[in-house]
Amino acid sequence: MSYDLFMASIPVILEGFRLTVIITLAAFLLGQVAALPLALAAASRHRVVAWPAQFYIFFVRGSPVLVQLFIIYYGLGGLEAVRDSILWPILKEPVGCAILAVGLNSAAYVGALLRGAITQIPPGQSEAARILGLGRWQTLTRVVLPQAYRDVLPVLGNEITLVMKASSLASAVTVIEMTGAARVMVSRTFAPFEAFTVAGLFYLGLALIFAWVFRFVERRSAIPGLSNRES
Amino acid sequence: MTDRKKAENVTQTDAITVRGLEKSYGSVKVINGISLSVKPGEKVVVCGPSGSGKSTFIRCICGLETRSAGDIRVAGHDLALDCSNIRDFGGDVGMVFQHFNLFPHLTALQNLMLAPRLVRGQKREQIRKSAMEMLERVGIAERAQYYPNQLSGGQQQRVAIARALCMQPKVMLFDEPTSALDPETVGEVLEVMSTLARDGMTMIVVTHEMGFARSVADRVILLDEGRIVEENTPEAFFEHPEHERTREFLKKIVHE
Amino acid sequence: MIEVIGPYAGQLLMGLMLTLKVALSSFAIGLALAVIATPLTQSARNPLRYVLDVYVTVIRGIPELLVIFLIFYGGTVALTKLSGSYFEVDALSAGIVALAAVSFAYLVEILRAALQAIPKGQTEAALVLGLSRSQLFTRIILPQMFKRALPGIGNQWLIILKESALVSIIGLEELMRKSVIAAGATHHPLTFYMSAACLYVAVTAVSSAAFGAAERRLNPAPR
Repeated sequence: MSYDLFMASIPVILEGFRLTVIITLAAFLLGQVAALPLALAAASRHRVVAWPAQFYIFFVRGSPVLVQLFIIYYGLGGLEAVRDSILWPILKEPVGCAILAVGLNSAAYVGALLRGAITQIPPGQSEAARILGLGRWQTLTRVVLPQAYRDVLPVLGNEITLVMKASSLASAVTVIEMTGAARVMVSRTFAPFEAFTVAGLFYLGLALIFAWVFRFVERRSAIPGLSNRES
Repeated sequence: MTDRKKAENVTQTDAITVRGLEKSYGSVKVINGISLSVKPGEKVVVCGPSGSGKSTFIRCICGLETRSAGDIRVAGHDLALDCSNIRDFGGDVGMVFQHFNLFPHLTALQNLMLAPRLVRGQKREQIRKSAMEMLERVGIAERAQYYPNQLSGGQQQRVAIARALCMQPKVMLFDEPTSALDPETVGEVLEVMSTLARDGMTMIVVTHEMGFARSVADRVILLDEGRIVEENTPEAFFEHPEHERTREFLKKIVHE
Repeated sequence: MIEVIGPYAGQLLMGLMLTLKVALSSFAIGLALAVIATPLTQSARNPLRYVLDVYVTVIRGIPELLVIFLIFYGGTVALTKLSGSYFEVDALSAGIVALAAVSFAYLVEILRAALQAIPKGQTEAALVLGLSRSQLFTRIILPQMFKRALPGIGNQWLIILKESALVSIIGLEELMRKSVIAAGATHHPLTFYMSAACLYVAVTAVSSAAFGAAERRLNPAPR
């Protein structure tokens, strides 16, 4: 390992750092926003609503993110209907497709997680809320979800790290985020160890920051006296 | 119509009216035709062996269980067969559960304040004041900022009673309120319930606590196999039971 | 649509075979290594434990793609230097080594948790009964470790199966790569990528069902 090549790799990788962070945060956010309606649908008593949601979760969790990315970037991009739609500005950009693919993938995992947490809230709570006069929506937002989200918080911390790792797939569709930048560096210098090590260190640093943030949120939102909730 | 009503002894001023209540789970008939009228301020204790349907009965009254047949009128509201209009109660019916069902992510005080704010839209300061008063009333004001899992079972149940009372219900229903409690804490909860009774609340209590029944109830009812077997004043019920099944039941209770 | 896929169906299935080969090989290696490494490094005083912990932390924090690239490109450079003559690491070997390295890390975590969940009283009872250390390990500890770890192991298998698609990026002609080639040749990307997705879903579904059945057999519900 050459020290000079190592240091030379740093600014190159840093150029890709911004896109890695953007893709990670945007995809994670998309996943969170989509996961809640998905979870509610999957947990619904109405089969018309539950089955599509459950099928979506099943299919997305059963196939690689890479395939889903290619379906969106190459597959959808080839359809006339998509090219004429309002989503085209997003879908024609590889970054947009990467965010969409990783985000929708994350939504399936988090959706399944949330659904599990929601159904495990003791039904007595909803009953008490109903008797007190709370409506369905109020019961959901004031009683069920605050507890369900607290339950899944530790796993969400892990999820954002997985989203960050998935962001590296964007390099497969020409996006120059950190992994893409590292490959560019390697093709220039034929020194894979230096470039990939630098990239690895940056990824680790990012993962550490995410872990710290989530631990902080967990501590702040914890219910006093309750260490690990059991169903 | 008026004659019929007179004949069935129903008055418009009844707090709770149940007529011909039936409920089945699939092919099993859990409630087999129960009729009951409770006047305002009356305390009714319901007891019976397990499987008698007493829990299902009280849950039907507050709209948590749908029913196959029968009319239910509680606190001035007619309850639909499928309980779809339970929202109309708006807290007029108070329910205390065997397992408290407090909201674990809220403090005791927050538990009390939630419904009045969301359902009645009352102002925060006003609700806080009445909530604290209610906690005083059940003797737990100093734990207002505690979370449910930091409270004992008896304390949690008292908070649960206070929470129901904050909605100023016309009727209070209790589904085996002390069955899940340690023996030492049963007393403090029964105490609160007795005080509530003395203050004039209309109550239906499903319980095994016969001492409570004797001292507080206006009427004691024995349920068995989904039917009312015996219905009488406490003295008559305990001293001179009319039915064999009542006598059997009382014998079993004494041995507990 | 069938006419489009038809001629390439055989290719896709060949790719699927290679996918399974890669996934199975790397998973088996990773699992075997994990089974050896986990009990050896149970004790926190063991210096190897520290090395293992660092390794697991690193793997958990970097993309699998990076590991694949590192071994593929880095392997070529390193082995060329070491052997003196040009030595190219092929995509298959690189893929298997990389995925084995990744699954090893996660499996160590899973096995470690399973090991720690075994009540200490079991060891005590076995020793009092006179079992030797190795008997204790193979007859008492190991079976219980597997039983508890089965859900985690099953999950990790599914992950490896899907991660194998990443090896297509360095050119291995497994299922993903085959579908890319077919899509390029026929200009029907959606058809082939959806077909590939369906094949992956089929394999993961069958695997899930198999693991589910195994779990149920090992943990019969109380009667």
